[in-house]
Formats: sequence, structure tokens, C-alpha cells
Amino acid sequence: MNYWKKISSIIPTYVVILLIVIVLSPVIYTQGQQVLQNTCPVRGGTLVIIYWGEPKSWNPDSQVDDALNGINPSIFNRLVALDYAYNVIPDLAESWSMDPNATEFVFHLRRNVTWHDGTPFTCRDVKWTFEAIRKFKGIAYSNLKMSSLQEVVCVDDYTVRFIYNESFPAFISFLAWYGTWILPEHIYNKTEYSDWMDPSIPALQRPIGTGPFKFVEYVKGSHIVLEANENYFKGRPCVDRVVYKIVPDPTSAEQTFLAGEGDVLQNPPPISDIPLLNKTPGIIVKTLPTLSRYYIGFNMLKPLFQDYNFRLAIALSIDRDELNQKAYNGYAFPATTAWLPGMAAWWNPNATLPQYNPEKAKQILDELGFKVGPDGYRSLPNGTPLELRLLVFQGSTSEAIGQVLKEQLRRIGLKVSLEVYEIATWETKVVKNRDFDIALCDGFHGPDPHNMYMRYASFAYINFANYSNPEFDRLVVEGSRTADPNLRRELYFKAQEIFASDLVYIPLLDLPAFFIYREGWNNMPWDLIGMEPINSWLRAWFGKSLTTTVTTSQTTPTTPSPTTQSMTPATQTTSPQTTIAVSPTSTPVSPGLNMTIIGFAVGILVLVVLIAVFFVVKRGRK
Amino acid sequence: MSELAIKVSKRAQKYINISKAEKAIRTINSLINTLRFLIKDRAGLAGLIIVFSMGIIALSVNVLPIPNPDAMEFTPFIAPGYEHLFGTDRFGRDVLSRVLWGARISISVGLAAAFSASLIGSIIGMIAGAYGGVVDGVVSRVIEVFLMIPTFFLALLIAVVMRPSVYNLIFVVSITSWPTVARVIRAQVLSLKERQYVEVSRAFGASEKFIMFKHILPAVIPLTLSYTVLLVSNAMLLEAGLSYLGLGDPNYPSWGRMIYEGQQLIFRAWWISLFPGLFLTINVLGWNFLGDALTRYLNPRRRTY
Amino acid sequence: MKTYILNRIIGSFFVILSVLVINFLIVNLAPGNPVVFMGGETGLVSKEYMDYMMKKWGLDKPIYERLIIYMYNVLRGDLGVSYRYLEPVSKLILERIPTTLMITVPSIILGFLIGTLLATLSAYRAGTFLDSLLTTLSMIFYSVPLFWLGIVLINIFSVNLKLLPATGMISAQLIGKTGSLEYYLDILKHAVLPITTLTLGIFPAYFRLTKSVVMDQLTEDYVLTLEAIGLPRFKILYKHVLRNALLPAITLLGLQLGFAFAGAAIIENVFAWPGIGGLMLNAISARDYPLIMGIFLFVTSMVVVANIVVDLVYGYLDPRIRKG
Repeated sequence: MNYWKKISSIIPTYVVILLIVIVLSPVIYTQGQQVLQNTCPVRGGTLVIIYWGEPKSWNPDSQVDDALNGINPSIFNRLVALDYAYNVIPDLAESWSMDPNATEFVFHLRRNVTWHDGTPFTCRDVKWTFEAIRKFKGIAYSNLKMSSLQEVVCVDDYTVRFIYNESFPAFISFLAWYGTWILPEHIYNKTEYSDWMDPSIPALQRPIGTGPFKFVEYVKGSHIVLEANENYFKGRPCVDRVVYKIVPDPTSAEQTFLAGEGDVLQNPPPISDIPLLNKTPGIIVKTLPTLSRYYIGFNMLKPLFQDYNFRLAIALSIDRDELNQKAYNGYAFPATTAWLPGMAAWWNPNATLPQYNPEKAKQILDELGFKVGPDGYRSLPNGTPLELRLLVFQGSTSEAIGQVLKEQLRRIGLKVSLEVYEIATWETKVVKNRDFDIALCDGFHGPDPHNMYMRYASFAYINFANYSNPEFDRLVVEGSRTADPNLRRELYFKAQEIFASDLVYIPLLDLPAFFIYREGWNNMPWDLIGMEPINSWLRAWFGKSLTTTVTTSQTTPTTPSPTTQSMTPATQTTSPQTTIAVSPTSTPVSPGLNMTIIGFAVGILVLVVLIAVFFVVKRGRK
Repeated sequence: MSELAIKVSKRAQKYINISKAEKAIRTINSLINTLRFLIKDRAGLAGLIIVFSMGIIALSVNVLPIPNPDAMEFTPFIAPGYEHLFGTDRFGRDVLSRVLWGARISISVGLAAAFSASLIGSIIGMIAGAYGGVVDGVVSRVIEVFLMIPTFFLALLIAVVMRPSVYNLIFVVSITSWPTVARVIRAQVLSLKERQYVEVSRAFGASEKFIMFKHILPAVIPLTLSYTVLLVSNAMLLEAGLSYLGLGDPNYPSWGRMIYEGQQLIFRAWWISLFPGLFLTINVLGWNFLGDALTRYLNPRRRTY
Repeated sequence: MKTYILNRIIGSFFVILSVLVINFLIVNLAPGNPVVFMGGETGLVSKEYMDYMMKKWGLDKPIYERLIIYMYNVLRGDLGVSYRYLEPVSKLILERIPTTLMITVPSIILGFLIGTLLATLSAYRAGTFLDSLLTTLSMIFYSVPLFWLGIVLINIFSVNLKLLPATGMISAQLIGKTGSLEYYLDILKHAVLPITTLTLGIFPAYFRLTKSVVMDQLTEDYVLTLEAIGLPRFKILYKHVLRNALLPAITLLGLQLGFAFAGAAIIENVFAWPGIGGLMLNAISARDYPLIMGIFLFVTSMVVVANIVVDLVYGYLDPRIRKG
């Protein structure tokens, strides 16, 4: 198998590095931080969230369920969690360590945790949860490489040890991500249940967790009510209740929110409406970069794209600021580096991509012999006309990006035909059959740089462009088995530089997350980077903010290199990040119809009706 | 031989004996007559004017002094005004230019789909009517199935699984609209077969083929024609509907697609969706007027208002 | 009569069977793998997970085997489980029926009433300005793309006048307050625009049909006779002519009520109305095979049933065809 060949070919180097690691640092990489008890300047009240979807079930580990995933942090906990800057922070585990081989992981659990029904939380719950994920193929099954998980051992009631067959340093990041919520063993583990989705399990109707809020009621298609957990291990939440009102339609959710209902809008409105929300008094809109990005890949099976200069010409023709303005209203973050600044600890700011330079692109194409024909489009050096097929999947932003890319390539004389497929067909065409020239893709690049291995290595399933650089492969494979964070970072930094210079994949935009909420709310999770997991409402309180109540003095586990974008706390979006063609003075944004123009439109309609009436048949009785 | 039979056989004789030139003159005459009727009929005239002017726009749009419809060279979201009559869209493209180019897409998809649908429909309908028996039974069942399926869902399903392109749109529209034509043509052929002059012709020993081509086909063609014209408007609406759901060809400015792009911006830029819809309505209206007037002329018994 | 009904029922069975097969083939032979949707963010990256899901949902079996399994299940009354919602398809459909009918039935009935009444008025005043106006208006609404009309109405009544809510079925303020008068009034407020749009789209069909029949009837001998007797004209119109002219309109009404279950997919999309049409659009774009096939089957069956009912009613109303 291709994969094993690659691995075995690099084993010697790996062994050497491993030896160096063992000799130089016989340390165990330990992380953890002090827990900060919750302090509330103001207590009480209800936090109402206008929410976008309803959960499929109340088992958070069984299947992909993005709606439930947004509610989970209120009810459940993980061993470790991610904050809004994608750092791993402690949750149920106080501290954790990893051996130098990255095969054994030890977590020290908190001692004062109880389930919502009063039963104490112990290592048995952890052990059972991960064995169930393995047994019933939970969502995290492949993320956590469950097939190489040898054993989960309870050293004592508050210490758990995971033993892997192979090195897996990304384990801790994935543990902080999707489908790893700890479930109550004493409720699920009964012989009469066939599996963990057995309808007779009471926790599938009324979920029981360790989280800051307790489940009260769920009315299908309508709302979910949670109440404060008095015994939460970080202290009682500041609010008494959290209510999720389910409004699946973004427009009505937005209208409802504008009308004054709800405290947080968690059904993102169309991007074109964000400025309107931002202008509304009493509403705060914040953005943070996420780990999702749009990128294009060239089909390297085609000789045309094997020419580096041709790829360079296309890379030079891409104006990311224009893409951002026209497809994302300026709210996204132009991707100028190989990796995402949102993942600060692993981001190499020097692995930059070619900057927009259409003149140079044209010059390169001229030199390559792509002559401009009478229709303004270039043909191949041998004279045959050239039309590139750009495959995009359905969705208003991805189609918009496709449209703008098409136009940008037209400006340097390349003809592009845009093909839009819904995502399942896109997957068949692009990933399975490699039937494309250029393909646009978006995806979550987290929670660990190991994603580089899963996405771009030559043996990765979704490496649709057939990117294959042995050096890059070697680095990301090595990165996937190196425990020392500093060494690992070096490997990934190098891999990013190679990735940026090969230009087989070209990153376009890093997507923003929008936080839309009402003025007066403090300590929202996006303000508490390093302290609270994503979507945790534990510390949120309503009232006049006198001073910042929570000091965010915390040691980030892996010292992140200082970055410009990602680590700055949520910035208020007063204006889009980049300003190009659009000057606000010349485009008065009319939120609705202006009356003269209504008159104009009505006039046209009336005219049409009158003309038609005049011409219409006047047929009487015979 | 009865008097009627003599009259009918004379009529049949006339068909056989006329020369080619005479035939051509006759066709031209009938065309002129049709046109004369249409101009007299006010709805017909309105339809003609709309269809003609839209046709002229569609043909001449590449020489008109308007910006490239795909070029994103202006400031986005300019409201309609002197510089841009219909404003610009979110990409900074001129909406007027795109609306005018949309005429070309809408009309060509409408015409192509309507013609292929009525061609398929007439051929199947004629085969069913002419052969009768088992063939008719099978074809009628197939038509029945198609008429019972919610057409829009079927079109949607086919459109989703195929690549969104102009040709596939034409295919989808024609594959879902032929059954109505087939049913009407079949009924017409069946009733024509029972007409006395056909029976007499048969009594005189004319072959089935002769009857089919000399008697039935000429009588069916006008009906097909009027149905085709009515189908054009249907096809244009269906195309717009599919494009509106994002299943149109993204490489061409189609009215349905422009409405789709404009709907998301309804709170910010009403003009992006208003104007394409207005043009679409007017265009469909024109074809409907024309189709109705033609039906009145060619088929006076079936009046529509 | 009995053999006629029997024939119809056998024919309908054939229709439903072929719809099932056609639909199954289109859905299952299409390129694209529904598993891509189930994996979400994690799915596309991991081949292992995709293979596991394929096996779990039986998508790794050959297509004929799946068809046979599906048909067997349908015969037992089991439409399968939706990939996306993980609930029985029949339950999902049943939940949506009331919401869909809430907008389709009123608009079909309103369209029927408005269409026939205006058509009679127009025929009564044939040749006048009023006639021209009504005819033209019906023609314009016959030609207008309904989704665009919906958007224009939203623009006028929601964006500018701020009279009515733009989309959705219920305001978030009232979520959870089922049963109160306020709640139902709010739903009604949300339903006004979709119903208006649909009514405007439906009435021209009745208008055109009824007017042509009425105009034909007016030239019949019995009308001339009645006129000669000296009956007032509108009395002839409403008492005698309309009664005959209504027959085809009622047929159309029956057929449309069959299609009412399909919901007005596009209109539901414009107004984000949570009905069957919207469910179908979502199912198609998410490749939810069981749900697509289930809705298709259900809607077609409803149309077929409506057809049979209409035939029977027609036969009852018009004795001439009772034997046919």
C-alpha cells in the first residue's frame, strides 16, 4: 500500500529524531491551568438564544449533529475543550500529560464534579464513554484513531490513561473537538439496552451531563429550556436560565432579533445584512477568524497544471481583497499564508503566498506562449483554444467566489466555465473521478495541524489535486508522531513553506464567525479566550459593565507566537477589514426602497398594465 | 356515391394534384392570413410587439452599447440612476446589461425546449393515435403517469442530478412538458381518423401512410404550432423557476438566476431582483398573448381568454 | 360503473408503481454519494467513516437489491428513515401536511371563487372596459413568475410598509405559547403573504376556463330562449349558465386539491414556510434518498386519489358520462 511505503521510507529519519527527542528531553509534556471560579457581578435573568436548528437526538457522541453540538457545552463537558482561538483548555481534566512517544496520555480529573442527578463523576464514566465510542462507532471514531487505541485504563477514580499503539500527538486537540462529550456511565451502561441509542434510555429524553446548565424541557420545533446547575464545579452560572428558541429560517430569525427579541442571534443572517445589524443601536456584532477556509486546487493529473509557471500565473491573478469584498462583504480574512492565522500556535507567518499581480501573470502567460486571440481569450501554445473548468459546489458564497474567480481569470485572458454541483456530486466529480481543471473547496482545517496530513498529504483521501511532494509528506507524517511541541512546530513550519511554494493548492479566504448579541451582555464566551469553551454561557451576565470583571491572565498551554490577527480578542466590526473599490461615500446603502424609486417601479408596472389593456381583445358576444 | 363523398374526394384530389409552386404560394398565403388575423386581434398584436421587440433585443444585444454583463468593473450596489439605469449588483455588474442579455438565454431556452417538447409530444401522440391498439395503450399509460407526477418536483430532481447547464435545462424542460402535447395530438388524430373525408379516402383505397401524411399531418400541424407557442411561455417560466433555485447555468445571466441572486439582498438592493422579474413577466405575457391569439385563429372552437 | 372504477384503480396502481420505480432510479443512479452529507465537517476527510456509513445505510448493496428491498418495505407501509433527520419518513411527511394545507387549500378555494366570479362578471360585461381590464389582469397574473411576485410582495409589505412579517410561520416571541389566541393570529399574519401570492397565481386558470365556457354557453339555444322569455340577463347568467359552466372548473379544483399536498415548493421556499414543498427541496439538496422517494410517492398517491374522486363526482354530476 502506498501509505505504508511512504511511512517505511521515512522510518530511519523518524527513529533518529525520536532518539534525539528521547535523549535530549526525557520530560513528559504536561499541560494544565488553574480553574477560575465563576464570579458574577449580577446574578439572575434569562439568556434567550435565537437558534438555527433542532437536535436530532440527545446523545452528543453518536452522530454528526451540528445543532446539538452548539447546545452541548451547556449540558455536557469534555476532558479538554477548545476556546474561540482554538487553544486546548481544561474542562473535566485539570491537567494532562503525554509521554515523549505520544502514545500514552494521562488525564487528572477534577474531584468535585457531580452529574445533574447527583451521582459523582469518576473515571468510570470516561472509560465507558470512550469504549462506547469505539464499540458503537461514534462520530469521533476516526478522528481519535480508535482502531489504534489499545486501552483506556482507570489508574484511580480521578486518573485516566489512554494507551495507543502508535504515536498520536494530535489526540489532545481532537479530544477537545467533536463528539467526545463524557456520558454518565451509571445511566447508559445497563444490560437491558441494546446500544447507546436505545430509545428506552431515559437520558435520551432528558439528557444528564455535568455541564453548567440542567435540562428542563424541549418542545420539538419550538424551544429548549435549561436552568442553572447550582453545583457546577466552576461555580453557579450567572443567569438562571438559558432558552434556545428554534427559528430555522435566517431571515425571520434576523427580523425577530431586530424587533428586539432574544439576546444572542445564533442563526447567522445573510452576510449582506450584517452591516444593517451592526448599525442598529443596541446590537453588537463581533467577528473572529475561524479555522474554515476556502481554497482552490489544480488538477495535477493534467499536464497543463504540472507547469509551475502556469500555476503561478493563476495564483498571481487572484485578488483576495476583491474576493472578500464581493463574496463576503469584506468580513472574511484574505488568506495570504499557507496555514491559518486562526491557529496561532502552528501558524508560520513567513510561509506567504504570491501577492496579487495581474501584470506579472500576463507576462508569464505571454512568455509561456499563451497568445491572446481576437475574442480576448488566450489559447494554448499550440493554438487550441483553452477553457478551464472551475468546479464549485452550491451555496451562495461558494458560487459568488466562483463568479469572482472566473472574472479575475478573464482579466488575464483565461476563459473559465463555471460548473456548480451540489456537494455530493461535487465530491464524486472532484474527489472520486478527478474530473475537473480547478476546484473550489472549503473545509475546517482544525483542530490540530495534523489536518495538513489528512487534507493535503499525497495519500490523503481528500487530496483532490493529487498534490504529491515527498518532502511535504515526510514532514507531516513526522509531525503526526512527534510529541515535543517545539519540534513539531518546526516540522509544520517547514511543511507550510513547502506548501506555499508549490502552489498546487491556493488558499483564498479564511471565514469569519459572527457573534451577534445585545448590548449589556458581558463575559460572553468569545470574550473569554483561554477561559471558556466555545458556546459556554457560564459566565455571561447582563448589566452595566463597569470594569472588566474577569482578568484573562492565563498561561496558554503551548506558547503561541505573537500574531496580528487571531489572538487579538474579538474586534468590533465597525467597517470591513480591507477597503478597496468600495468607498462608502459613493454607495449610499438604502436599507429599503426609497419612495421615489417605488414610484418609478409602480409607474412602470402601471404603464405595462395600461398598454396591455389598450391592446387587449374586445370580444363581445357573437 | 353520395354528394358528400364526391365533395370529399374532390378535396382529396385537389391535395394530390397541386404543384409545388402552388403549394408554396398557399403556405405563404396562409402565413399572411395568420399575420393579418394576429394584427387585427389586439391581444395578438400586443403579443407580436412584445415577442418581436424581445427577439430584437436578444439578437442585437452583443452590438448594443452596454457594458459586458459579466465584467465586475463598477462599484457594487449602485442604486438605479442616470449612470446605471437599473443599478449594479453585488459584484459590480451592470444590471441593465445583464437583464438584456438575459433575454437571449430566456428566449433560446424557451424556444428550444418548447420545440423539442412539442416535437417529441407530436411524434408520440401521432404514433399512439395512428397505430392504436397496444401501442396506444402503452403510450397512453406513460402519458398518464407523467401527468400525475408533480412536474416541478420531477424537473427539480432531474436538474439536481445533472450538471446545471443551458442544454440540460432545455432537456429537463422538454422531458417534463411533452406529455400534454402528446395527449392533445393523440386525441386530435383519433378524432380526425373518424372524419368522413378520411374514411372516404380510405374507401378509395388510399394507403394508411398516404392518409397519415396527406390528411392527418396537415390538420395536426396548426394545433402543434399553437401549442408550441404556448409551451414557450411555460418553458421560460420553468427555466426561471429552476434557475431561481440555483440550478441554472452560472455562466450565463439568466433572469431566474438574477432573481435568485437578488433575493438574498432584498433588504439591501431591491433592484437586482425587480428588473429581471419585470422583463420575465413581460416576455411570458407576450408569448401567452401570441399563443392565445393563434389558438383562436387556428382552432376557433377552443376559445381562451 | 363497477368495472370502470376497478379499471381506474388498477390503472392508478400501475401509475404509482411506475412513479416509484422511475423515482428510485433517478435518485439512486445519480452521481454523488449521500454519505458526504452525513459526515459533515469530519466526513469528507475520512474515507473510513464514509465506508462505515455506506454499510450502515445499506448503500453498498447493488441497486436492484436496494430497489427490491425498498419496494418490499413500501408494501409493508414502511417508507424508511430519513438520512438527515433520522426519523421515519412517514412521520416527517405527516407532520408537514397541516402546514402545507394551511396555505394551499385557502388559496385554491379563494382562487376558484375569485376566478369564476370575475370570469362571469367579465362575460356578462363582455366588450366593455371592465372586461378588458379583468382579462388583461388575469393574463398578467397568468404570466408572472410566482416566486418573483412573492419577493415583490415581501419588498412592499415587509421591507417598506413593515405591515407583515417577511418569512417563517411564527414569530420567535410566541414560540412555545401554543394555544393562545395571539399565537394563531400570528400564524395567520405570517400566512397572509404566501396565500395572497398563491391565490394571485391560481385564479387566472379558473378565470380563463370559466370565461371560455360561459361565453360558449351564452351562444347556446337555451340562453336565447330564456332571453326571449324576458328573464333578466344576470339571472340567466347566475342561475343557468354558471351552473353548467362550473363543471370543468370543479374538475380543475379537484385536481388542484390533489396537487395541494405537493405544496407550492417554490412559494414555500420564498417565504420559508415549513411545508412539504420546502421539505422536498431540502431533501433533494441533502440527497436524503428515503425522504425524496417518500414525498414523491405520497404526493403522487394524493394526486391519483384526487383524480379518482373527481372522476366519480363528475360521473355523479353529469349523467351523460356515467356509463363511459
